[in-house]
Amino acid sequence: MLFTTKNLVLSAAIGVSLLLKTVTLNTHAHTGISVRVASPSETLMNMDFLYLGQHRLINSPHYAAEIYLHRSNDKACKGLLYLLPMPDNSEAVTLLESPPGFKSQDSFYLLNNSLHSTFPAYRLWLDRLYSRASNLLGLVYEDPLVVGVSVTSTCLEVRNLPWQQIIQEIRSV
Amino acid sequence: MSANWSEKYLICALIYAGLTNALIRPVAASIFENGFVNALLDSFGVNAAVWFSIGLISINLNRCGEAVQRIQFGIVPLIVMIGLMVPSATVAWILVAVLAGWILQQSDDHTLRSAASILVVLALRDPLLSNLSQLFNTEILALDTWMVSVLVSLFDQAVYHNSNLIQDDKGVRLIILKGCSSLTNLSYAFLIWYSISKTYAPRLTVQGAWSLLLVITSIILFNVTRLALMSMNESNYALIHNTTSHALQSVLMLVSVLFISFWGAQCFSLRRI
Repeated sequence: MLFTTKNLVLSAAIGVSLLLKTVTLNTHAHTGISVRVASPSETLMNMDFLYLGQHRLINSPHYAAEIYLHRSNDKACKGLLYLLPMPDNSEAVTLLESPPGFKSQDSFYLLNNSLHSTFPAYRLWLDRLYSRASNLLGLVYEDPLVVGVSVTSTCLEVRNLPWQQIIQEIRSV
Repeated sequence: MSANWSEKYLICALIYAGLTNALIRPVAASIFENGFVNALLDSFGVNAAVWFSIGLISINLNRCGEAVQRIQFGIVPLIVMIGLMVPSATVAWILVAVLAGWILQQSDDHTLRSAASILVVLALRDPLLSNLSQLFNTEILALDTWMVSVLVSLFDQAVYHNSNLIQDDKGVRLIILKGCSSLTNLSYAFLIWYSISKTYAPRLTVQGAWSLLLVITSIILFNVTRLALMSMNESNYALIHNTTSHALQSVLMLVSVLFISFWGAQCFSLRRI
């Protein structure tokens, strides 16, 4: 018999699973690197940094760094600050550490309020796993984002800036 | 007889429900963003290798006849069914792999086992590749870049590599990103080779092993040559990187992998050609 109770229950379960999938379908979700909207940080601009705009590090809209110029009276301290969101993986590390046309004096990576000297691939993987598991359970957990920072000035102490606040401003766009 | 038929229907329905759950997002996104005709030309945002292996899974399921009727519904299919309600493609792929693993354990019919093992490879390819490329991206790209720099340096001694950059004294010539890596193409090529081998030559032969080696070599050589040519000059880059050329390269790669894999599965002999 095709229409047994067991078969009807199993078919209904398959149907419900597909229906739920269609209802919760999000075709605009993050599927890899995407083009980001320019998002100047108020905090940086209040700290003598002038926002210069976005600068493409490769010949496509992906990997556009947000660039700031430090308006210091001391000429030696004048320099550029690059902020590069790296949502997916470490492929843009070389672009950040040696930006075309400039010599980077210091570079580091920010992930969930912690600062890393090298790209935190393992930590990003763990955070993403945790984020996806939380989202599946209905808990809201922001997708982790690594932001690379590179500076061309030798005397700017950029590691001590309020990065937690700055990253929030960048993410809010 | 009709009860057995319905049992087969349900096992197959569960497999297709799992595959639909895993693929519906990229397919829907492709149709909504590009329209149906363009999505069709782009194989609905999913690599042609995936559709090809699903086709061979269907052929195997169709061939296996009564073998699937001997499988009794147990706790595993029920868990898979409940799990498929979770709105996540990765979870769907893992559940499909679990279901396929369960079928492998339940059946000794080689056609059904072929369908299940292709399903395992298909289902694990995506999560495995995604995690590998997140954890070891630097190393994977560095290997590709090293191969490209070795090839380019045969013609141009000024070229060297630094992590995933091809450089010369004037600056950066080419950056190799995840999408250009040989690993992604290799995973699709392996999926095609495995699907054909399991469907047409279930036992691995010497010719089959050689064909796998040929598939791997040809994919790496093709990708490295393409990247090396792009790093030579800007006009090469523009020519190779445009959409038409990209589609042509994909077709060439697909045809060569299909040809080598069918040869490996002894579907034809080169002497007859």
